[in-house]
Amino acid sequence: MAKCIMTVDDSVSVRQMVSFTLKNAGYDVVEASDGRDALGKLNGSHVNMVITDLNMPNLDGIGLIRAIRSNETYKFVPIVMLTTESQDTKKQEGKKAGATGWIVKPFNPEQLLGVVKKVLG
Amino acid sequence: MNMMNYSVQEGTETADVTFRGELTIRSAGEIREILRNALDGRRTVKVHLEDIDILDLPCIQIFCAAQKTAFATNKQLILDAALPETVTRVLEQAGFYCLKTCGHSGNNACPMTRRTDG
Amino acid sequence: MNKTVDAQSEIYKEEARELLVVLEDSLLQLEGSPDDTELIGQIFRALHTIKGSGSMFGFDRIAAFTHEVETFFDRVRNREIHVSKEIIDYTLKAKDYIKLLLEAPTTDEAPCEQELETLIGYFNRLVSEHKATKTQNPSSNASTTILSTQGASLSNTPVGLLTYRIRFSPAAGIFLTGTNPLFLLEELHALGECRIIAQRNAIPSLEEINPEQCYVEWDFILTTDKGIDAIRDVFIFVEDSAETRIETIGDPVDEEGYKKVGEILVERGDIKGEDLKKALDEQRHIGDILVDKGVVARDRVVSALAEQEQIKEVREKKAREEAALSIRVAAGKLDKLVDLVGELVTVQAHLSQKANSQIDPELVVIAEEVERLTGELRDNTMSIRMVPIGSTFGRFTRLVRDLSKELGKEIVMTTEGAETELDKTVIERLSDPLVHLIRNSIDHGIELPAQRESLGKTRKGLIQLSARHVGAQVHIEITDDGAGLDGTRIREKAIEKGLIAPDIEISNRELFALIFAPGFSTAKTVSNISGRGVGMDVVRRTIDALRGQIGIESEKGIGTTITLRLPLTLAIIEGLLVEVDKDYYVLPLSSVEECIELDHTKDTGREEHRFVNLRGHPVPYIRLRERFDIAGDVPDVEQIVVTDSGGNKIGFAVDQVIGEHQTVIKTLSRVYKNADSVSGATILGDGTVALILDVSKLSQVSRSEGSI
Repeated sequence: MAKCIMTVDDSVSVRQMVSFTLKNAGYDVVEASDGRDALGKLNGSHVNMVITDLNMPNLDGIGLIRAIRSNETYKFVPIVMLTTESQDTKKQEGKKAGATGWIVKPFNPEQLLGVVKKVLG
Repeated sequence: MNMMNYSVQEGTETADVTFRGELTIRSAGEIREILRNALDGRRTVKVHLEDIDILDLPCIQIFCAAQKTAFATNKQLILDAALPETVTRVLEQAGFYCLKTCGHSGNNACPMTRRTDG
Repeated sequence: MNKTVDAQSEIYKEEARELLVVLEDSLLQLEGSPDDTELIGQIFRALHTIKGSGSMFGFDRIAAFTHEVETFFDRVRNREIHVSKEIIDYTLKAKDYIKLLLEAPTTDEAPCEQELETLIGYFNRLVSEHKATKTQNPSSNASTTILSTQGASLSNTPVGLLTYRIRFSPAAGIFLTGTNPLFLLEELHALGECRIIAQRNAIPSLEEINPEQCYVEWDFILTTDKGIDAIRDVFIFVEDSAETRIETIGDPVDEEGYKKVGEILVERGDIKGEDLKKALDEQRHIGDILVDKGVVARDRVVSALAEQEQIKEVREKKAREEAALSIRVAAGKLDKLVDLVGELVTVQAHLSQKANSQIDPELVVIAEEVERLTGELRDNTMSIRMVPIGSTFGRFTRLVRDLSKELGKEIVMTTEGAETELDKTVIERLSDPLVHLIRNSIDHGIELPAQRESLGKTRKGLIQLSARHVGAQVHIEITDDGAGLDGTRIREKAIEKGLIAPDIEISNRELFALIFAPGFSTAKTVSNISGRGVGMDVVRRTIDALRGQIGIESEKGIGTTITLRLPLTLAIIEGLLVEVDKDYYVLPLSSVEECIELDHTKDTGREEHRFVNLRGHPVPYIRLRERFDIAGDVPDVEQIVVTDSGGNKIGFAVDQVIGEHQTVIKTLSRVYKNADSVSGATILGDGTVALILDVSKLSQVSRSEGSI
């Protein structure tokens, strides 16, 4: 059974790029447009990893990470956050909230897959 | 979405526990309870792992702990069949392959890596 | 793939257009309610996405510009800057500009540069005006490097094969960050030859174990050429949730045998030295004893054993590779090869000259090809003779140890650049001078321990030996942190020995150079180690013969550094080709300082005293024409090549200076062994022989004859 990765981003273009790269590498992908959408789609479904942006409307990345970590079913799921180089404080906040790792934007498909391999095996 | 299942054949002296599927952190607590119950009042517990797909670190720890407990209470925890090759590879890569020297079991091999042929 | 890139850019453009609409709407609304944090958040996010996604899809100009606006709006969001009508105006203009960039073909120049500058100027000004009030600068971390997991090896220059000892101890709660440590181990395996031993000692009983905690730690022995940064990169995500200790075991290939298991465990801090001692007293397998005594966990011993095994394997592999890769050849065969290549170079030069004068394009092409191949052949042949200086350095360790003991001094010697390669002959001939210099440092340089302490220095003196390549030369430095040279004493001594006139003013550098003069010694007592006043003289002559130079720097009370500059090889000389009445001579370029004209029609020097005026300083010169009894008249204008040999300037008057000349040295036949002012000969392109002059010998001979 292919591993399923959820990509959470309010930017359609980034989501599509992530999704495209992951699907090409043989993963199943679920897309969500913000933290709230992600939690709704997570509900009970089979997701092995979450890649999330930090700045999003409704529920931002930090909030999403906290929600996932306090959920019995998903609390051990690896979460990788997308940051920009100027968001170091956000990154620290994300780590504290329980993020597994991070990718700094801009990134290329190889870097993305490298990080996925690092946390998902 | 629990990917692990198991069955137990209980005897008075021994119990046979068979695990199948994905033995991950999400099942680690459950595995601990299963092994505790199996060891309770019996001298020997045979664990069958030939049908597992994944064995992650938390579950490896549980089996090591079970072995330690069994050894301390003069009981036996035996791994009864060869592990799937994928699982063996993970164990070797993670450095759990020092058979003869497992500190928890004295001179006995660690159940995690004992093979039927050895 | 291009198609997908195009498709993705289109998606980005589409999205950016939508976001720009959102941006405009929000800005217009903000004008009505400037304190609406929800609106400000929306504007910030829109900017953030335009920037972030822009950089992902190659819209670098948009990303760069939007970054400025975003930085500014972050301040607004943090309530450091208050929204005004002007701000909204400018942000709207910025939005229009982003739109312009978005629709412009990416290959063109940035449109409306003036507009761009105005906008960036405005936002930057506002940001910097509010710098004082802000508590945190969001762009202060802008230099944080972009993480690249794959690219780790790109930023790392290869460092050669090293073996590392890594202890990785995850925090108990590491699983709660979604981290699976096993994947990291997999990554380590990919870096090189890796032995991993899980340390299970901390795993509690089934009753006590918390299934969601990590109890295991790992020892790794990793041999890799990827460097320590590549290893750190593996653990980058777990910096906070694990302790990782990385130690280099060093290049284990140098030593003989390897550490004992007990030593390894002590080194790692797994057991104490006294435990080891106790265990060693029993005559059993050390690991078993330590485990039985409960001093150390079994897994730790296994890990130490693994280290031994790994080192052994790495060594064996290296030895096998070396055995397969190297071949021993008698030195004589090599010398013959160098000789032949030398002749080939000469013939080739002749061929090139001939080809160029024949106006035969075909022949020119062939000649050029031959020239290229000959050049490569020459360089390759020379490199075969190159050997690392390390073995020579190694011998001095013993010297320092024995001598310092004899003199009651405490000295540490360090070496650097042992891998630096030099011509075998140079290295062989360098050994004696180096011994002299190091002896000098130990005897005269480094003070006695008590004396050092009273001077506020460490008890142990330091002698540093280093070698490195500088251009076509090798520089060898002998540095000590001893007493340094005493300029006053040297001066007194030099006057006493009649080396300088009592009233002459000379610089420290020139003064120090005097210690290399024959018969000079400043040591108060003559020990059997140094101080007989012959050593330094001999050193200089040897270095001269190697066509090298000596430099000396010293500060009283601080120490002395002696630098030997040597050519890489003796077989090739960089020289200055000069002519005297159709005879050619080569002066080693390493000793040439400058060339000046000696115009006999003007009065530039005192002919009878053979001095030439060099910027107010008299420099003696030798006229080669007279020295070698060449017939003919001295031309009206002569050239004087000014050379420096051990601090003494001497000029050589010649008819003409032809230019720099790289050439292969031919030793003269034994018949000419008495011609000591000539160190060899070379054959020029047209077949003419040119003599290579030994500058220091020439000046010495002339000086003793009293001709200068």
